Amino acid sequence: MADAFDYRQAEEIRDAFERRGVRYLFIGKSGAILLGFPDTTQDADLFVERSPQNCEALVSALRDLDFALSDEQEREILRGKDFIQLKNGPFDLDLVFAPDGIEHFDDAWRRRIDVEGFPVCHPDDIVASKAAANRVKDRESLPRLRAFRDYWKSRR
Amino acid sequence: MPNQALEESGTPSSRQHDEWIAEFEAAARRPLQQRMRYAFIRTYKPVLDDEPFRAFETMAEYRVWCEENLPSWLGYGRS
Repeated sequence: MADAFDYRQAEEIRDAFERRGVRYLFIGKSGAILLGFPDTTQDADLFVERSPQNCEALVSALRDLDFALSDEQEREILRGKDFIQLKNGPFDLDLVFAPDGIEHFDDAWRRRIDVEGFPVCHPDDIVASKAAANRVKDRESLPRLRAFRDYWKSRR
Repeated sequence: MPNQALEESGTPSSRQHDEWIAEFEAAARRPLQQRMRYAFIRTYKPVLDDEPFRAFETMAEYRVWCEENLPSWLGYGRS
């Protein structure tokens, strides 16, 4: 089992993805935490643009980060499957190419928030994604996340 | 955090809301590095953590897999 995700690893993602030119956004609770939401989570969720060029850059960046990808796993990432869970690297990573509740990557990209160099989904998109997923754990966390979204907006 | 009143109505009481705002204010005073140190935790999740790699063609396929394979108490199901 990998160690808990930490700030240094977030920096490694940011730097490796930037070097390779990967277009991505932190989403989910990890994105909310970057925005200031006080809560806990286990791994980082990344919303990645699904394009052949971006997926190729993503594979290179993951290898730079020491994710042990087999040829088959590489092919699945290059195909841009909707959801990929990686637990074969220095930390756990969820790659989401088509999050619930967000129509197009470009829309979320335009609304993104920069947090100390980390590209993060706008809290409206994080809330929309959780609401559309509608899992038990999302329903439990949504009232507090919505309150945070409103608080965050009031401070802008 | 969830409580009974919240679960029943989906709307926090004003006291609960005030507590959340106090938590948000406190978090806003901490630097990002410190926030992240306390936010990311590591606990074993049965089934979910047992494979090094999973890929799902669609989100719908992933949701069905979660419903059918994960213990309900993890909260990944929709009901």
